[in-house]
Amino acid sequence: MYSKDRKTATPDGNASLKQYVTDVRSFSSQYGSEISISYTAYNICGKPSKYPAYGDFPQTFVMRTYGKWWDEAPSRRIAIMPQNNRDVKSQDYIDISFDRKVRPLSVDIYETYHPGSVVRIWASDGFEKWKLLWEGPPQVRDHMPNIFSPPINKINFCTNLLRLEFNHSHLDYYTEIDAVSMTGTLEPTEPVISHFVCDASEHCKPPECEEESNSSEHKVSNAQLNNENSASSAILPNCSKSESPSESIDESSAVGKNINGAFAILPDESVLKIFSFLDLVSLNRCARVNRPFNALATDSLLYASINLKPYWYLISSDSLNYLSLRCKYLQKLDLSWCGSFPSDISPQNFCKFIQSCGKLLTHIRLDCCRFVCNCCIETISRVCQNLTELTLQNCIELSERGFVHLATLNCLERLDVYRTNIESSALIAILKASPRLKHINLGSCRAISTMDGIAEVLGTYNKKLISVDFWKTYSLTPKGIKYLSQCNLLEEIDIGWCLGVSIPGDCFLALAMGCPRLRKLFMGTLRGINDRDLYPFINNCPDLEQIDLLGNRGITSDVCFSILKSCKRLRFLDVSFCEQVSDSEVQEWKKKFPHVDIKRSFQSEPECTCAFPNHY
Amino acid sequence: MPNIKLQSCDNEVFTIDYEVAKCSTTIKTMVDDLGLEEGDDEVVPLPNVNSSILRKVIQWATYHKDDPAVPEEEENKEKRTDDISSWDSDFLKVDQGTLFELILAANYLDIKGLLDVTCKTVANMIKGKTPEEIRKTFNIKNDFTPEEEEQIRRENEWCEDK
Amino acid sequence: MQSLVWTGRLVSRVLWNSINNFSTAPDPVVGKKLEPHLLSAVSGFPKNFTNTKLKKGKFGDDAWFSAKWKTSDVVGVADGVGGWRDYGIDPGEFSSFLMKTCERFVSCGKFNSSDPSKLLASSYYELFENKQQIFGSTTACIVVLNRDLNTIYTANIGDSGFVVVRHGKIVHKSEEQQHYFNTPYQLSIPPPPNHNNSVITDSPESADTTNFRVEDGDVILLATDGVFDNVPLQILLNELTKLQGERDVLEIQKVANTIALMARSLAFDAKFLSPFAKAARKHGIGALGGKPDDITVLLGTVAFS
Repeated sequence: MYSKDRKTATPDGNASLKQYVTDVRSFSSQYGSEISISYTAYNICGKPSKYPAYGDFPQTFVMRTYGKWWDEAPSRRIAIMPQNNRDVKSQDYIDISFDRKVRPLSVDIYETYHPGSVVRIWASDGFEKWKLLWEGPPQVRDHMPNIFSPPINKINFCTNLLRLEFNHSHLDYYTEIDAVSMTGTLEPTEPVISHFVCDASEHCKPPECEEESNSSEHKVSNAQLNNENSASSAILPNCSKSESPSESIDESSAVGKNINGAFAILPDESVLKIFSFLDLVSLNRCARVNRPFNALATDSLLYASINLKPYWYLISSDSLNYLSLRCKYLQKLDLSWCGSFPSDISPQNFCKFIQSCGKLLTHIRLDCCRFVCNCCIETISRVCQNLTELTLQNCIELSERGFVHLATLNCLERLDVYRTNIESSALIAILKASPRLKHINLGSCRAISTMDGIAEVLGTYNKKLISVDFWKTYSLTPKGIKYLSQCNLLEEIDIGWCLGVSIPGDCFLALAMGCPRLRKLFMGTLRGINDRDLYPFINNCPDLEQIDLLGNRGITSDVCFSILKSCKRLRFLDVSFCEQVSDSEVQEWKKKFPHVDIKRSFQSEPECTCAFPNHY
Repeated sequence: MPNIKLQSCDNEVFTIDYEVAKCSTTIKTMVDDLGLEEGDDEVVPLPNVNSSILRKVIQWATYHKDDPAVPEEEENKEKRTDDISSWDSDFLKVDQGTLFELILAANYLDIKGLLDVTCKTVANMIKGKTPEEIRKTFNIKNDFTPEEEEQIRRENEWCEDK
Repeated sequence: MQSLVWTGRLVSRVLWNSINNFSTAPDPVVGKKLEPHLLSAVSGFPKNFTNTKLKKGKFGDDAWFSAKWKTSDVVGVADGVGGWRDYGIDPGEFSSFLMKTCERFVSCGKFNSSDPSKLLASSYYELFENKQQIFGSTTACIVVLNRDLNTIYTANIGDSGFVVVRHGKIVHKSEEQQHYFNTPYQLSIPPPPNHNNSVITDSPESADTTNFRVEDGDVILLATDGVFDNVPLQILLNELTKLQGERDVLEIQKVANTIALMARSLAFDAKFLSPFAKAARKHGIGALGGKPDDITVLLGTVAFS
């Protein structure tokens, strides 16, 4: 399209094409709001708009978090089956598509603020498979614009869909991505060469799986397997306990205990203990070692907490079917990011899994799961009566009809519906039914018409509330803040960009008086607030650790200095774009209060770079 | 009661500081049940532990006697296997037989810290290996029939990178 | 007079602009249906030439953009209200952000190609979404050529505007929106209360909107009041008529440069009875001469291909 695509010839004569992103398919978080384009994922589309400028620009893609602050906040989540996580955990992702399918030769990522957070790049054929193009640890880089172009693996298909995964826990501030380009060769006119030839050039394939790359063959074997499934699994897990076919009894008794080598001396409980430290891949491999190992490695005790998020690109309905045989005691399930294509997991598969394994579930995480529809919520609400935690970030398929079922649950302690279409009436019903609620995330929920009404219910029915996230919800007003001040156990409140609170009146006095345990206070760009609104927190909330005051023009350095001096536990203070606070004061404070991480972001236009870039 | 005597299954008696010994919940319970007091010459018999292993256990317990108590269900920290201290990892550079006997002893003596670190060490030996490599590493025999093996392979390869 | 010296320098700058700013030839047409395309060029001057840095999309406090998406060609101009300079606020930042944001919305396809006032409104609200709050106010005019419908859609707030000329006649023209003389309608974000007491804030919804069919060869001028206040309409018409049916972007650029230069020289001609002076007299203000101002000219022709 236009000059966006640039064709050149590669050394081997194939035409190569450089393309910029045309669309964003999916993402896990964004700083910007749903009704805006500033700081949103869509800014990754098109040619770089800021590069080579360096700074905090609204024209780029920014994610919601960075650093370790969010893991230290009262609302932090506890990891489920953390042994599954890779050395480098992915915290956020974005799926980006391009106009034309190519065999990628290079991927260039334009980082215009705090570079170094990309840890994985995937390519997809758009239907069922993802291949890793690159992975590596997050980089520590200079504060300079950067084009990140890691060496990428060759893949044996053409792609116009990439996924970037990020880990920003080491960063000083938000990473910002301006654009991404993919250069690749166009599909050859000849039919694709046999897959055996292609396999030879692949990096990440374990040797024993070679025959599996023929996908049609794979499908057939799965179908066969489903038929045999129930019969075989009924026998196999028991075979070490003597009920096995006669032949194998002879064999095992003849060899005696030595069949298990070094493990022979250990009681089952010790083997289970060892296995409990294993990730799912290792467990599944242990299950293939021999019969006794199989029995232990598939023991339901090892499958009480399951985290499939690190395997998002592998999880299909089959995975759930196999797992369901082992999940008798399942309590915690993290399926986040799984099911990126409709063919991976269907809502029916998921419901079936919940029906057979969900009775004891207390935690379910389904962030960014695109298969989650209203019927899934209905099933969860019906089956998982003990549910205490449900996270549904970015489940955009869900509507009021689904959410309303959650009101039948009454043990909920955490509900995370960031970027969903939940509406007031369902939410109010859920809140009224959940007296134990401790954490709620309503960030970027744009379908909630009156956040004050929600705050009123929270203040009345959810007195145990510890954290509340109202990020970028525009209908919250000072009235709602006053209701929230009735949640006296509140430790964390995020009302960043709640522009309806711009003229706060005395609501912050009420909040500070009512919530003396506050540890995290995020109130970026409330625009109209001034020093007077902040002193009550200094006087009443001695535990404050994290304060975000970004973009509040009315705040002076007086109150900032008071905060630094008086809040002994303070570790984090963001005074970016507080124009009455000078850079030199911030420098001084950094020296004087070294235990506090003081943030000071900036936007700066580069001096006119002489050329007027071509418009078309 | 500063010292206590422990007797291994091969009849060797070890005299150690009770503060060290009580990291074993089993010994602590026995001492409490026997009502041992200072000056008693009672010997606590440990019929499931031989002297060479018991010596290792005591070495470990002596080094760790001042460790803070591990909070009960700290599920997440427990599941990590990359947090073995360098002392422990040197301590556990032993032959496979000894390592597994240490697990057995830690299990019997109910020494949570030692059991964790030994089990993690074995878990680390398993991680990243193919089934065949696991068999080789621990001298395990494959007793699956070819049909079973094929079946089990299919059932367990869904989280393998393809 | 200084004009000779000036002209040399101005022309070189104008030409430099022109080389970099014109549109390319239309994309090859795949279907059979003939579609209109906007061939456009831009020219202009900041009021204070010497101490202004040249920036893309800006002439002093004026700003402009030109972008396209699928079957829409979109151009716009905005004139930052200069009075904010007294409060230490750069008036150009507001107009420039507004235009750049319009451009972003168009380039990523997030706009309705038959509703430019919505585009204006979205871009205006985007000013609130910036971490660094930008204050100020601006007039704005946006023209969208919807190629599917052979129709132009416009939205105008304030006293920038557009003129469409067909075969020597003005067939469409925007209306000036003013609260009172020399105080146009404007989109504003005033700084917190202590600064202002009488800031005029018009909502983006109060923009005038029009739409009309276009024909092959139509000439469209989109400009800020720096042009309309200084160049009499008849002269503009003469210039624009020359471009009827023109498909050579360089020719369009030449006329754009001519209009901009004309506006510039008339603005500094103290003896000229400019359109601005005429309007002032109508309001009982005795005035003569041009009105020195930033000047932005976006000129285009409609070519069916």
